Amino acid sequence: MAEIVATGLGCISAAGGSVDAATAAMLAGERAPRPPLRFALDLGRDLPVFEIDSDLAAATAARMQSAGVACVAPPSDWFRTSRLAALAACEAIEQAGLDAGALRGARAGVAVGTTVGCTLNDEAFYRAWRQGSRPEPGPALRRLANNPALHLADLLGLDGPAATIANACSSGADAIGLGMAWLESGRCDVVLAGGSDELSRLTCLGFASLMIASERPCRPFDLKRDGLNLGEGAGMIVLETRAALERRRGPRPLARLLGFGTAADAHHATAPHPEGRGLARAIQKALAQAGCAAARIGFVNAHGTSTRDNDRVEGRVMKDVLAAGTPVVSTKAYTGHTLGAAGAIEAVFTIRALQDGRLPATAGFATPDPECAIVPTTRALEVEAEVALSNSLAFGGNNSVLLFGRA
Amino acid sequence: MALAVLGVGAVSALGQGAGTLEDGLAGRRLPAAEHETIATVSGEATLAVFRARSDGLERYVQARALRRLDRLSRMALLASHLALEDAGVHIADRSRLGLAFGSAFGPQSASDAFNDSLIEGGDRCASPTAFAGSVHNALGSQASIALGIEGPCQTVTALGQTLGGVLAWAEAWLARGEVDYVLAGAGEEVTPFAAFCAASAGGRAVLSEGFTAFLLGAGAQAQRRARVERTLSGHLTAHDARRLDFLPDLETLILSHDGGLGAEAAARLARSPVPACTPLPDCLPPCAGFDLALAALWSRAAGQTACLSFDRAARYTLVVLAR
Repeated sequence: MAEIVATGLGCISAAGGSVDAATAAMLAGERAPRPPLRFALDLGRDLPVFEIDSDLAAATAARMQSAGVACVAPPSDWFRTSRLAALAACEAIEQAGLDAGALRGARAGVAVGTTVGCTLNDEAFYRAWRQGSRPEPGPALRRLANNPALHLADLLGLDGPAATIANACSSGADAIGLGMAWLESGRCDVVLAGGSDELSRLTCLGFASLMIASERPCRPFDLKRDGLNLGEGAGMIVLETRAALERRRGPRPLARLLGFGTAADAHHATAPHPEGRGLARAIQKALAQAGCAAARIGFVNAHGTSTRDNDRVEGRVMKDVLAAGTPVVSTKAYTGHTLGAAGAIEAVFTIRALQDGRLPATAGFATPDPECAIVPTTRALEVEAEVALSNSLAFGGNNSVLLFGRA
Repeated sequence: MALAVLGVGAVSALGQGAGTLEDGLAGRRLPAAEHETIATVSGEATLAVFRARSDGLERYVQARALRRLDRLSRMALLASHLALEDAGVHIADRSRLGLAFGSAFGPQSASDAFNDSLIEGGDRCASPTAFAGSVHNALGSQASIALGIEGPCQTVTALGQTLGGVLAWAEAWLARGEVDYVLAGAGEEVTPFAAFCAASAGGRAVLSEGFTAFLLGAGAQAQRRARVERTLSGHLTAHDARRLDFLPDLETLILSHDGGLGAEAAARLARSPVPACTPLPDCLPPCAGFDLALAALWSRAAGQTACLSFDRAARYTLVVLAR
């Protein structure tokens, strides 16, 4: 099987506009959830979110120019989700020592996970239509064409496979898994894989209706946790086969992608299996693919949403799988739950922590919950890990994990 | 790797089951069109809508379990049962069965219902049921729950490249030996809002719905329907034109109804004319799953057959099948 390596990382989230910025903020324990600025919610209570307040259009254009992407800026009809994906992609491409010209000449694929970014779900447009007016079809046309993987493929001029993965909250991890499959099969030499999602009023209202959005900053694995905070962002990784990297005499790899495991609970539309059967199977698959014993896992970036169900189930599976004392962190404490982007953003942070040997504290955690069976990181840690795991669980009972190794 | 198409299940305006597609291909069956008044940006128009019925689902699933299923999930579940039945394979260990579905717009009726709940009751009355059902992977997760599928379960959405993504997942899982079978499928539904968007988008609106599912195995298995020999998906550029230059070797090329883009591309790519057909125009949803089903059925008589699907931006999926 081809050895697959990560050569570039890109990330934008409320934790920071780049991988470096987010890493520094998390290690310093900085986070600032607050009520959304771009839209209002009439819920009679505040729901803090992790929102990006940068000028996206300008930032995108600047980063694209620095990454050697010929197109100055994405078309104006792109949704925020695709713009976020482009920002993260440019950072990753630049770090990989690639440019748009090199990618166009390669067998290059794009896989992006999302939830908001692929729906025909424009609230104002729908409301106008429902109320009997006949709104101009512009928003409908935008929606019909709205697909972040295809947008990125168009922007970068890539003609290889492109797929948007719409697997709810595991989409970002799944997109990286699909990229791995393309590389393994020889279909591609290089893949830009990750996830992206924008904050949406509809999504906020949906999570509020399910009674799993907290009015306070989230507290993953804490005894008093009472729900998640939504966030937005994108994480992208340049994946290559080792052989392709050597052919192009590219930079030293950042990490190896050792395994991807995914399995369904077949249990419930929104709740995880109470014993985490799907998650346990997904981890077993990833370990088997990597030929790696669970004891070698040096740390875990957990799904850690701060909901009662997720953290209880995930914590118990972690206790069963991991060697005693293996650090577990939830970086959602700094980014919020970025849904389709989460698995990819957390994969980026996992690789970076493997490189740096440092893990942040799980912000918000104060009191252990015996039901969770684990205690996440309570302070920034030095870690000597050869292998690290990143977990993603999703609506519909999907469980996907990525296993990375030091380069 | 090659994939064996072991069973085909279809739910469309032609009816339910692979046989209805075969009959449609042979001209023995006509699709049922309903003429509906569709709002468009320029006023109301009476248009043919090709609807799919999923009323046979109660044969497989208790009515109680169907209460909360949206329309597209019902179609997907019925097509899945039909594909399993068509294959005649008993899969006792459902952790060895994977699922990969594709849909451009997902469960639109659930998404509309969620919007309706906000309009009718305000932000505090958002429907949790509709929200949970509105995620793109709801159809796959509902099928995995109903069928007890504990293997991998993925949903792809990429317009003209959706089928390529679905088949890539299947190939990966089967090649790794992670599963023995994969239930693959794709489909769309037509809601009044989706019809408005499609009819207002310019060009020829295709208002058809349905879902087609396949039970796939590793290519070494004795296949009942066909064998997928090769799948390519990408963006049609000069680079990809070179990759498609084996098209003249085909006996038949099935083109999706795409406003002629596929026919133009095939003519441009082929070194010599390819016998091509665009069967059953308009009555099947514009998703490549149906193209694959038709090609699988067609290949039984015609030998090496391919289906080539395009979207408006010239993204394509090409699947080559053999008997």
